Amino acid sequence: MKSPQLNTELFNQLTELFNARAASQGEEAPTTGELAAFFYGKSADASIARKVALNRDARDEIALYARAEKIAAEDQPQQEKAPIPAAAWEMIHRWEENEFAKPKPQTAAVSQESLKQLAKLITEREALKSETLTVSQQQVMVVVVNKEGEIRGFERFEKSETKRGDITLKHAEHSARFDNRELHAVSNQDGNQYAVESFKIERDRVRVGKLLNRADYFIIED
Amino acid sequence: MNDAATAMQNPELSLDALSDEELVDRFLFAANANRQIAHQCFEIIISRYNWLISHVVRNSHYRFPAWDSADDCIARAIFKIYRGLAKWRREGKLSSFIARITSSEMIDTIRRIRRDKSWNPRLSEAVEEEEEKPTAIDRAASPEPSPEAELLNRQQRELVDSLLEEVCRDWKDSVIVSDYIILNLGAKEIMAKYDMSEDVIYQRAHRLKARLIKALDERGITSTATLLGAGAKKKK
Repeated sequence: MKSPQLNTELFNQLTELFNARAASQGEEAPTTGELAAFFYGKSADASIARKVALNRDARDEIALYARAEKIAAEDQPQQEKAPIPAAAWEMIHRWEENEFAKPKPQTAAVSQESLKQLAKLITEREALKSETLTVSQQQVMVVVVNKEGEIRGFERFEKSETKRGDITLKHAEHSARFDNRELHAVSNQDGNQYAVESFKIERDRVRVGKLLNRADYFIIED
Repeated sequence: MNDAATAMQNPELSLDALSDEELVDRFLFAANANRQIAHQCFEIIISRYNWLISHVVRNSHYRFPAWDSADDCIARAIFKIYRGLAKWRREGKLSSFIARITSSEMIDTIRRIRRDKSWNPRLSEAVEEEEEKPTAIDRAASPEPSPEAELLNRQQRELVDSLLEEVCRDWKDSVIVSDYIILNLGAKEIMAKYDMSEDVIYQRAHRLKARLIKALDERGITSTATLLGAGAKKKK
């Protein structure tokens, strides 16, 4: 393939400038995060493109990503027993005990699909239906389940509504037991289709916006 | 009902039989509630990809010192995979996600050990260095700007920077401009290093040269005189 014509003398001079620029100090290397985002096409930051072109170490690091991707693409998952190094377990245990290892919001931890499965299980329970009948219009009955979908109990929440129709639910016992957990609201759409919306509980209350009148609520707690 | 949900209801169902997606689902379900199950899931995930992690770290062109060994790097990578599994967005294969975390950990490790001037992590240069070790005085940074830096005035530096930013649009562009067009490395060497095909290198090099010519032309640079002159400003 014939390359575009670039005046040889000009090109040589330009090459010298590039080399001098690459050799001169003062160009900081991209961070590992920037480099990864650039390699995986998550960032089109021109300054990272420049830094990679000028920095040999950065190009070598790009080559590591390229090589690892190739290995990953060709890799067939193994099934051989390979114990996790004790040092890794130690870091994991330390992290789990650390305050930063607080439970993630349920929406991040539980997939929508699984939530829907749970919602379906819950709304079909006769126990929930009969409990729901015992509350007034100013209350909702929230079912507390474990992650297997087994009912652990029922909790009453007081319902208040602003003039604009925004609804807040407040735990009738004013307990902070569910603080930071999520309340999941289930609506039945179209027979077997369930829609689930999740809202974070702050201490004893949770704002659910302009929620549909007909919804079942559940909290996952172990 | 999906398999992950089925597995939740049938604990006797073997975790080994779950797909990566189901296993990660199960791991995330259990992470805050039943760590024993979460750890079991994680052990299976790592047993599937242990070879990958180890291969990425141990078969690179870098060597690790005893005080920050390949084993240390692997342990940290595994910990980061554990911590980061919730972020796997199913956009790619789990193997790719694991390779990415492992590579990033390796890069962090290399950068850290490179800061210790007594250790050169580059395998290829280690032998040369053994033969001709610079003294501490040789290695000490000069307080004066390097000759290259002196050579390059601010305007030329800005020109080079702006040309690179304009011409390079992704990592392959940056690599080809630098290694192939400027440093004149062979296509085969670049292919092997970055896992690129020869065609990609030639086609991109052709396109990049065209972009370079256009960018120079837009700045009124058509000769060495204008390149080195002060009037290198981009045309409006």
